[in-house]
Amino acid sequence: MNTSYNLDNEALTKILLLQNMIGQLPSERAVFEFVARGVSYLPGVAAVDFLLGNTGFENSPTPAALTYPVQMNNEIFGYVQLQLNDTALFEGYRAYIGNLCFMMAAVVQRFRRAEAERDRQLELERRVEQRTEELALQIVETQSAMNRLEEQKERLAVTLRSIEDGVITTDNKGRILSLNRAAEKFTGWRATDAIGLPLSRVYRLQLEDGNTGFTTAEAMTDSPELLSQGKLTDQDGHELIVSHLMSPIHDHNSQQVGLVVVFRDITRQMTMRDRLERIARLDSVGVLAGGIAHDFNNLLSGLFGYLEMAQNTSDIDEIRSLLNKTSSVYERAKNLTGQLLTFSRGGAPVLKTGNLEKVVRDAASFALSGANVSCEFDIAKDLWHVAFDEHQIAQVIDNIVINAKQAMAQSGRIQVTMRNTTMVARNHDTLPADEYVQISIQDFGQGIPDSIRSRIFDPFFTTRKEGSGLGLSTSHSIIQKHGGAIEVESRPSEGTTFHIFLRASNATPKSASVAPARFHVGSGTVLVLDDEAFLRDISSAMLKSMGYHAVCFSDGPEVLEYLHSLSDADRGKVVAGLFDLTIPGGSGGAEIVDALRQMLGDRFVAIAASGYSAGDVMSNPMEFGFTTSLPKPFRKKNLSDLLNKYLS
Amino acid sequence: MCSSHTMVNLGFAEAELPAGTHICQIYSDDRERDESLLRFLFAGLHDGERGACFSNDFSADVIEAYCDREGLDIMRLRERQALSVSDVSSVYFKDGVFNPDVMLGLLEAYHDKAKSDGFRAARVVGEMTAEVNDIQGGKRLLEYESRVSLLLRKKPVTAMCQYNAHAFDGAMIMEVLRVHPMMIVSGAVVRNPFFIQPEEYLKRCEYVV
Repeated sequence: MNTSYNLDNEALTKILLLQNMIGQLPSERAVFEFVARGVSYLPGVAAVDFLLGNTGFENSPTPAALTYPVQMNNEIFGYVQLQLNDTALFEGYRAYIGNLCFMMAAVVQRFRRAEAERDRQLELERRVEQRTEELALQIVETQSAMNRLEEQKERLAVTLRSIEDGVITTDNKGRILSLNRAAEKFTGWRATDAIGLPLSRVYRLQLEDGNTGFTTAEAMTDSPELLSQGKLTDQDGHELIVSHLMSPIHDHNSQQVGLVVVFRDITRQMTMRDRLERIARLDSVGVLAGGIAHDFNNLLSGLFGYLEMAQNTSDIDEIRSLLNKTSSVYERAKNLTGQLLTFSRGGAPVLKTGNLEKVVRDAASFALSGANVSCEFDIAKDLWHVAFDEHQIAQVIDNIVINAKQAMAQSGRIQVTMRNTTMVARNHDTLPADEYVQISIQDFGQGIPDSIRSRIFDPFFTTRKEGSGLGLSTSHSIIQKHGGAIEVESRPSEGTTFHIFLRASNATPKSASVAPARFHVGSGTVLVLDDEAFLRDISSAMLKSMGYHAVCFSDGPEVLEYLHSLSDADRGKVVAGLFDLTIPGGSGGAEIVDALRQMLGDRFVAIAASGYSAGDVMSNPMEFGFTTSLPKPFRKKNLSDLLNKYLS
Repeated sequence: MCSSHTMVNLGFAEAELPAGTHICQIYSDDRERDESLLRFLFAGLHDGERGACFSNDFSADVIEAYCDREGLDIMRLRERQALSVSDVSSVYFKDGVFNPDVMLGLLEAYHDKAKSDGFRAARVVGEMTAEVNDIQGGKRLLEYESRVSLLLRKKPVTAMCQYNAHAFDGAMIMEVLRVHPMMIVSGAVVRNPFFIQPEEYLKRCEYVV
């Protein structure tokens, strides 16, 4: 018991402070160092040493030494060894130091535990870090794989978006899984709305054979692909002609998982094909019609030439009256052959540059005169000029407006719109990129049935008893020859619109010519070349009545031979020539005109005449050496007007 | 021991101690250090003392912000130059040398200036860093601390020295206790039983007083 010892309060306070402070020290060693140094200042203590660990001191302690294990339960953390210089004086503190060492053990154990916990924590953190790295690597690899997959998907998506073919995929039940952009456009369905719907609801297809073209993936097992053509109706009811391919989709196990439908809008190609076929068809019919019209014109020229002569020579009123009536039939016959010629290759337009507005307004208004149909015009103020044949374009407008009027039965409204249009390369199937004036004539009648729409430009095709069937085919021909295009757009019960495109011209408009005097009188020699004797006869008579001496020939070389035979003085009297361009088996006017010019000079009036209205020469006679042209059949007045113009 | 009759509040208890008390604090975490530093400084500033702080972790702005939060009038403190804050190296290790004589001279001048400026007392708190172990003159640390105790008898600046237990070995910590008459244990200022009067300590160190 320490009660028997004389203990110093100061020393006890020191021990107490040591006990208090060891908990604040940061390490085992610091605790041992601190306590060893502190205990060394206690009474009876000469020096203090310490050891960390449980191996103990190597040398046996001296009798004056006192060794304290720093121990908790059976675990020894170290030793504190005191060298005493006064054993008796220290004896009273022995138990206190034992207690201090026990407290040191508690602190050290706490350190050890904390260290073990720290090690465990570090190990845990190391494992977490290692696992995190592994996971990060896996994530990177997974991300990389996902990126590659995304790239592939994106490439596929971009490809699908970019191609102009519609692509729809479905599952095995025919429910839509995806639509590309083109498919959205063609069907009128947005992908977000269409996904999940049955294919047949979105992709409304009518094949040429009348089938819908749909099948489920299961049904396609035996026929992996179906290629066909049909009519697709979009969500708004518009129709497209599409080529259609349907194939099954297989997964990596060759299991059928759905369908892919690939379709392409071929409406434009089909329209163009129809148009080209129509042009070719009209061309071949035109050749035939032109041939007939030419011969028919010659016959009419003869027939009515004599008729006119008979009118002029007959003194019997009754006969003159009958002859006058016959003349009115002549006008109708002439108009018919004129239409045939216009429709045929022969009716090349005589182009003059100007504004179309007046021609269109006049023709439309004239066609509707007396009808209970109004016409509204919407015409751009700055309409470009066009090189056009006034009579032919008037004829086109007339034909279309009459058709429109008849489409509206009793009454209605026709809308005529004229606009400047710049066509880029892909705007039109047949027209080159350029500037055009577009004339649109719209009626609000019953529309043209699909079944006949492709045939409306065919010659002699008509749905009316009184129609000739030449109106639209002639219009088509005229516009073709103007280098333009004519198109029709029609919806049942809504009406029809004809669009005419005529190329804009930069040429300056020509001023209107002065009307010639009605009857011409002149003098001199006029050469007449024609293979038909009766036409030579009639022309000769007409010229004679106007004061000229007519010399007739049936072949070109005869003309030249005649001129060579003349003296210069007589040759100087030759003022004009009326030359048929087509001499079967011989040479017509075109072949001899240059030689004529050489002999007779520029003063000589060379007139090209043809019942064939032979395109280039008749349209642009001056380019071929002629002064002017005169289409057959012609009347005396027509010839008189020409001579009045050039020989007055 | 301190010979001053001016009693000051150290900030750790109601009880006051004479000005010129030399205290040490052995700390093992920064929060403990910071709390003691601020309590010590605030107590002096509240009581109209001049205070100085040598710390690597506190700038003047931060200390002022703490003072403001404490309710001290910052403008007033600035006007009176009641508070100065310096980093440890610029005070203890100026020019890369630890020179106890210079330090003691500064401490004395600090006291005298505070007195002449009309402060009722002056106090200083400083942290001794591990840098002292390696710097020229660093081995004179305990001599310096012991001489501080001697100086404070004449120039009663209340001083608190903070030592990081992690920066010094256990024996050195015990030696630090030997040169500080008072110490902070568990948030209370207590008499240090290991303290040796400076004359004796310096004698043992063979330093002539």
